Amino acid sequence: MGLSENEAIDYAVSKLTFGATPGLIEEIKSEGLENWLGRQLSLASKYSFKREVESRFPITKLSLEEIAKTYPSPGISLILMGIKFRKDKKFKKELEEKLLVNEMLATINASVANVDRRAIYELEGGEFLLKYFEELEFGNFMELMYQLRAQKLYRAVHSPFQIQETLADFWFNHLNVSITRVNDTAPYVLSYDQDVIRANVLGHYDKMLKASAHHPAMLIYFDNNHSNADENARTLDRRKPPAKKLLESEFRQFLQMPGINENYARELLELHTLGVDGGYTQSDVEELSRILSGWKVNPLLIRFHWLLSFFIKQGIKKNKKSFLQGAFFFDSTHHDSGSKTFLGRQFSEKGGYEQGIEAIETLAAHPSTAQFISAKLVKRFVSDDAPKALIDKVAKAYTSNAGHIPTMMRTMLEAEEFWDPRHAYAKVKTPFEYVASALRSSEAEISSEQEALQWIVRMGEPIYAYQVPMGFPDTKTYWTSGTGLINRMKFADALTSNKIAGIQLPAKFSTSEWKRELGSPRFQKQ
Amino acid sequence: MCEEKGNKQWSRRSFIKTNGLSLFTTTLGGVPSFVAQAAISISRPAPFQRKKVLVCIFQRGAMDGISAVQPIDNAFLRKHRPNLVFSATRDASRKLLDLDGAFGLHPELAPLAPYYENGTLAILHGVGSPVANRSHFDAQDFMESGTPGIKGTESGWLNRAVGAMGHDATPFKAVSFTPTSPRSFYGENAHIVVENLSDLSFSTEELKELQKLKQLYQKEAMADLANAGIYNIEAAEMMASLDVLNQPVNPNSIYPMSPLGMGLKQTAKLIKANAGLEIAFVESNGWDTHSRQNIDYGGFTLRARDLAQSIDAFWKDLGTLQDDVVVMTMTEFGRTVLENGSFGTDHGRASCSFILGNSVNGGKIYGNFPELAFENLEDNRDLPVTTDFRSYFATVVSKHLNIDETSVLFPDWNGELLELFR
Repeated sequence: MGLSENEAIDYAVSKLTFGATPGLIEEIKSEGLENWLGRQLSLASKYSFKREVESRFPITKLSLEEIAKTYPSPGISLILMGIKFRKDKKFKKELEEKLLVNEMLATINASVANVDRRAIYELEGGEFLLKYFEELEFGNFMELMYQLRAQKLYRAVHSPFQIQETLADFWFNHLNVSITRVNDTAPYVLSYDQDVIRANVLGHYDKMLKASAHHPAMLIYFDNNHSNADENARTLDRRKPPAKKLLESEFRQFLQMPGINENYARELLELHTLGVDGGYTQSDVEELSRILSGWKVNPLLIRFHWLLSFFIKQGIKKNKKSFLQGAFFFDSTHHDSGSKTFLGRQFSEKGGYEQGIEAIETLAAHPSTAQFISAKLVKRFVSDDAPKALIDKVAKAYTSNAGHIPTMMRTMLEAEEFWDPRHAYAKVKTPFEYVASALRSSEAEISSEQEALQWIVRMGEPIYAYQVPMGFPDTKTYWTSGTGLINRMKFADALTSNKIAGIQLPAKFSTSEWKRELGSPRFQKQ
Repeated sequence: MCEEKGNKQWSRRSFIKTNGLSLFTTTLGGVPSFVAQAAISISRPAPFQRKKVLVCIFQRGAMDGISAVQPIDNAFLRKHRPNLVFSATRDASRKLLDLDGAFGLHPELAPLAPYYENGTLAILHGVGSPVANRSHFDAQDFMESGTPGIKGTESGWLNRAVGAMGHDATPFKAVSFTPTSPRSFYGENAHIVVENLSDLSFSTEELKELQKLKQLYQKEAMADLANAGIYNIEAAEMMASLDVLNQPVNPNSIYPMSPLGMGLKQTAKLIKANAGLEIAFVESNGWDTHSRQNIDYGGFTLRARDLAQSIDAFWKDLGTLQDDVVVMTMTEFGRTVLENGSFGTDHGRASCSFILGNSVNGGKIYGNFPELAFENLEDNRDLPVTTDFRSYFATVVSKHLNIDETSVLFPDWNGELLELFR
């Protein structure tokens, strides 16, 4: 292997964790590297850090349904407020005189980008909204956005289960969704991170993939929520066109109209499973989008007036083959029930929800998926120039263990290619990895993550806010373009001189030598 | 002069060449193959010349182009947008500014009128995306990736433009004055994203510290990292040596305190300092004017005022440097021709754009604006798109930045360039 035990520990820590701490190195030495790695990948450790996260970030305790009801997006809040107080003259007058909706929404977009925690009613001109928010029992949406990001940094810095953290980072980026869609996707991203990604990083990929396909964040982000059987297609249950009055109203943009949206099907093939050269055609994209038509978000996730909710529920019940399952809604009236041919496989005319499950399972089990995902995983944990032999080993493990992620990791760690010293410090840390590792190795006392998160944004990595489906590029070239590095050097200065609010370093790290270390090329690599 | 010295230093740097080259080749890996193919076809570097600067203003939220540049005394509009039309003759304080007898400028855009009159400001009406999509998110995505209808495109068109310019540059070649990288800048060609230039400014003492770090980066074996470290430190050094932050502002330039105003003010500082800026990106948010858009404090009123005052302040601030600069505005789509029930407008199709520059063949309104009648509107409601935004963007970068190979920027597009320039 060519590495001494101490070197192997350093190497493993640099590749698999968010950075060394003196305690961690000691812990691995006393436990033995192999035991430590085994424990990191064992299911037993899965929820062990949950309690700490929940006590610091209470929103992480809430279910998706609770978040949807308590922390609606700014746009939805205003709509629900408008409905609730539509007969309240005082409200109308205040709204007319004080609220500049588009000014406010623009400010909110900027606040989200800047990791600002102030609520809408704390922004200039929004003060009068407080009492209406209180009456509706809305929480502070910006706080939800903050806790989403802060919990990730908190876990990366403090969690003893470091490989789970790096895996969560990897898989979220692989199945990326983004809070830049502030008014529809954003409220659901925390749940997506927890219930889709983190819940499955020590499980099987097909399960994670299915969870993402049912999750509102993914369904909205890729527009499947509005993917309906074409006008002339046969649907599973009879489709009723919306009332003319609704069509002419301002709500028309929210209506479900006939027409397939291919967006999700395409990315499911290209980004989530087979890869762009994985052997599918445009016809497969179209057929898959027909198979997934009618996969939507439960409309009752939004807290409408109870009477409206009642009617929506009754409407869904009327259609025998429609169903609600948590936040997911299978809409049989918009599901294309014609026969389909997908990846050479026949999907009969009976159509239905199960065809979607079958299609996703087929994709997860496909050899191209094994290869595509293994290549990304090896690239993430070893080097931008991932060794082919190692990719093949991991792909084989994926296939013979039904996409079991810990087995893929174990296979990678047991391969000699992984331990090849040529790969040592071959990657450039992302800004998130950089800040997390700087905080870890500086033994920082952290009472607030906010400013550290703002630094990460300034260095070029707005976490949970990469707009493009493919996620942040995982290359050293990407992370060295732009002015990220000068901001890292500035951060090193601010950190070591204890100028970052909420973060305090012990005296031994508040030095100019340590500042230089944090700004040096060596500290940028892993 | 220190400006001269600064720039000579920069053009001599061999690492920049290396950096440019390595960025360019590795960029190809992350770009869809059709873009990569097109990129390979550009190999000839443009001849050295004093750098031209393109300033892009993205009006997020979709500007109501019909409010900005309105047909004068139009019966259809009077009937269907009763609260949003202005008269060119009555109501002196809120009067439409007659441009050519047929169209008038919104009263809040008055600061732009002199530029139209002196022939440096052109207006392009009916511009938009060939793909009918009325979602802000999608339409911005398509406009900024430069590939309407295709969501998978990883890079932004302006980032590809940075790569396509094919000559040495300083770190300040492409700068976005935004909190995070705009979609237009996504990609692996080097660029700066900075809300406030002071983020790049260091004290003399800190610069000395950076010198020590620079030596470490010069010894670094990983080329990407070494180049980036030196590049970043030299950006900070340039900020100091060119005294960017202390560039004087023309006292007649009153910049609004908005992100747009502040972005343009800083753009002017970089231009005045001769820092090598070639593409600047600034944003104006809040154009999604669904309600009461035209009242005194309405969304359109405030944003239009901000837009016109910011551009006017910027242009005055540039003084004799105006010759090098073109300002272009863009917005994801236009708004409904009909006013809605709350004195606003909903998502539509075509909008209009402003192009300002001494090389612009201004004082004209370009594009096709149909006779307003339901049968001439797209889906009976929206101003139809008669100019593909790619024609507009391609024209500006081709004429102003000398990028002829527009297939890199807009693969799958082979439309005509417009006659916007002299």
